[in-house]
Amino acid sequence: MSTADAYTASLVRPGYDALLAADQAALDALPVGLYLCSSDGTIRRVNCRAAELWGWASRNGMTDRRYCGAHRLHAADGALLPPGGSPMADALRSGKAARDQEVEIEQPDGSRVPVLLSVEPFKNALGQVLGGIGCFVDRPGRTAEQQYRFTDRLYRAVSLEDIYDAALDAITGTLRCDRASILLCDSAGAMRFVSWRGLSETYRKAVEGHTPWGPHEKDPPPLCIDDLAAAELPAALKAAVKAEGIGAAAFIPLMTHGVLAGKFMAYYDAPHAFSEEERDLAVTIARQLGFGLERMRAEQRRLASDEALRGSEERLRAMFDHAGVGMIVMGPDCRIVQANAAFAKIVGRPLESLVGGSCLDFTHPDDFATNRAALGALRQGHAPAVFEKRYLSPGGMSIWVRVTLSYVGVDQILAVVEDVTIRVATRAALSKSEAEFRTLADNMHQFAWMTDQTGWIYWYNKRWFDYTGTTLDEMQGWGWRKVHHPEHVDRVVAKIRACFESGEPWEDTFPLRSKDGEYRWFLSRALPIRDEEGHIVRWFGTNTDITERLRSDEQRTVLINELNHRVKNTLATVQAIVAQTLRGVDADPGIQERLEARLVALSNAHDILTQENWEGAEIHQVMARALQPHAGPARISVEGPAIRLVPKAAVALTMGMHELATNAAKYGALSTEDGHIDLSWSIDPAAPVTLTFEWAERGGPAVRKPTRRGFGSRLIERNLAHDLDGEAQIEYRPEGVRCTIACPLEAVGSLIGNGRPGRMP
Amino acid sequence: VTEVVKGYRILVVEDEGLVAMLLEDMLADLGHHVVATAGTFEKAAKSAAEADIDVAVLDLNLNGRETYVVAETLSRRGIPFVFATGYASTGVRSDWQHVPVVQKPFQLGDLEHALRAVTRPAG
Repeated sequence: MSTADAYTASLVRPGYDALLAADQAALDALPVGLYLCSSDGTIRRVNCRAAELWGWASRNGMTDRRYCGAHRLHAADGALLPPGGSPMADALRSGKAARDQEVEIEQPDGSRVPVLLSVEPFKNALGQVLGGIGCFVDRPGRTAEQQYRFTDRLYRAVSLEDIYDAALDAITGTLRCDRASILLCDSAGAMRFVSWRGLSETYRKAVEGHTPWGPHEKDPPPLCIDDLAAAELPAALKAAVKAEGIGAAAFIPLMTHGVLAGKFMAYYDAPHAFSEEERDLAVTIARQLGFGLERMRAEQRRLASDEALRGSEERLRAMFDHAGVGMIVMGPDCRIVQANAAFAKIVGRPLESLVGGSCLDFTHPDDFATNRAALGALRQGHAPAVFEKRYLSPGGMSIWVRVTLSYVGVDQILAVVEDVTIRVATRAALSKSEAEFRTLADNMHQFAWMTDQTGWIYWYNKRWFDYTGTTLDEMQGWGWRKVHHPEHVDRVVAKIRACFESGEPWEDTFPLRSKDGEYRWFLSRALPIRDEEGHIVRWFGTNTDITERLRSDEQRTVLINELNHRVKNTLATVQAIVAQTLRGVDADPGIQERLEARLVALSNAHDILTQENWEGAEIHQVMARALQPHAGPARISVEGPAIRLVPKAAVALTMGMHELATNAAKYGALSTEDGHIDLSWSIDPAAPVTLTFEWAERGGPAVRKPTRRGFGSRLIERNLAHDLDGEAQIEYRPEGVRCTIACPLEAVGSLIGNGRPGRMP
Repeated sequence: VTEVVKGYRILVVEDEGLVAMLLEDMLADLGHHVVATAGTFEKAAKSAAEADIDVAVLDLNLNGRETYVVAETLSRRGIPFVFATGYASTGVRSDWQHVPVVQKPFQLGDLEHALRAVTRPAG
């Protein structure tokens, strides 16, 4: 309840009659304007405050008035309220109270007084309205209120638009103009419309840039033109003003920081006589608007820089939080002020547990000294200080980190922490394996060496130096040539150079001179070592002393040659004995010939075995050697799987084939131009695995079974079957001789290449 | 038919007496004369250096001693020769691989063929 209401209530209670009879002194003592009307609106009582607010010369001034004592009464929006339409008139008519009506009293001199008016009707017991009491207090003046509201809105403004809006409200409200606008100087100094009410685009375009003041005028005066039509203006401007229907206008300069920043305009549709008060009000609004603009601009600058700062802080913070490396900010006492997730991950502790603690809490005690030394170095200006240390995981494991320290504030240190545990472990493993490798290399029987990618030898093992009696200085690069044999060195160099260039593995055999001057033979090999991309990074080479092996190979060859020599000499001796024996008895010369052929066949079998170091022979080799004196592949086709024959079987088969071929040459398929022999053998995998030979002649003369079994057939059927632990059979079929031999494979030898067909040499 | 040149004077170097005799007979059958035989390294070396011969049949192994030195002597004198050996063909030293080898036991045809090869006039 307002003060006026309270008074009204307290006063009304005694009743209408009591009020009418109240003591004037009592009424005048009240600090509110108060008057009583009878039901027809006649003003019956007026206190002095009411008379004062109404602008009456005296309390008895305008008693002829009805309903209201004001010269004129206006509604809040400025509309004129006729006495019959005043709140008192309404209340008397309707019998309803009207409280806190905002109305404006126009005094006889034209001044206006805004008041809050409450009206209370008095009724009799029948509800008839007897009269009413009006009670009013002056409220802050409209202008002051506008000013207050403007100041408040400027204060609350968060954008230039808010400021423009508030200013335009203040201008139109205070100056009671019809239209208004605000123009600000652009960067070129020209005034541009920034906000307006009720102006057409055509008009704005026509007048924009026009200003009554010079660009750098120190104290530009406000300019009020009461009648634009009568003013001296440029024709174009005048026409635009006329077209827009503007009768009068005020040009009020806006100053910021003492400099002309723009202007605001108040437009009146009709010519308007600007009062001094209006001019002052306009200047006050302009000053406030100027301050508002200044404040807003400063605010915006501050906001912008805040924003920028906040942005960069946020970015820094984001970088810090999400960096792939661990980061902490700490004091000089190692107390953690800030830590990021990567750091928490490295040390294996929750991020929130870290801040406030000391990073020494989980630094390896053995590294305290290192840590201190690094901080000391940082203090002495060796920034950033970089060092490696260990943290301890919650489980007590060492975590190797590389720490970079730098100052980020007077006493704040940023530590960038990188987990290098794997790197350190790898490095340790590498140096360990390097050490192990050298130990191994120094103790291996071979010489070992390494080159760079070009073949420049930079390292030899100890054995090399022990043997050659040289030093690395002499040997490095291509210095090794001086321990090579002069007859071999050029060949060796040419070959190894070619390998270094092509990247092919290198292998060679050559003599190397020992420190005693003795040459020993070495089998040497080198392999390129490549990086992940396949580029050769070095060569690793070895030299293996094969002198003893070469000697034993040599000795073995000598022994086998000697054995062969003895066997053949014995056969030759037998041959000599037979020849001498037969010479004396005048025997058939064919006998010696046949005998010699058999001895040669036997000798041939031995030759093959010699070539194979008496370790057995491949069946195709044996067959070829046995048949070669008799016929080529055009006459004898050979087919069968590859088999390595044991020596005994090789000799027995050679002799058997010799007999069959000799017989064929004499009587069978090889005795004619176009006879043919098919020799084949095959494996029957059923246990025991059996090898079956077949010798089949065709195209020769018709065969007759011999009347007497000769040595040849007996050699095959008896001797060969015996030696091969099998059975042999010769059939004298009319179309050709056929010989089959079946024996267990294991008595003969073993399959080579899983039974794939072999080839004749 | 190529005419076989007959009547070479031949040196036989062979440590086994019976085999030397066999060679003598076989060479005689081919129409040649064995004018000297050597069964020891020393005698072989001397004959190779001095004997008046057209061609030689040289066993590579005399009682376990290789006879390449004898071969060198013959080469120096320009006397053609063949090896008679029990070694397989791979048993001949690499620098003498061009010399024909007659394998023991002998076949008359082989012997004749080898002699013809080394005595064929150049061109």
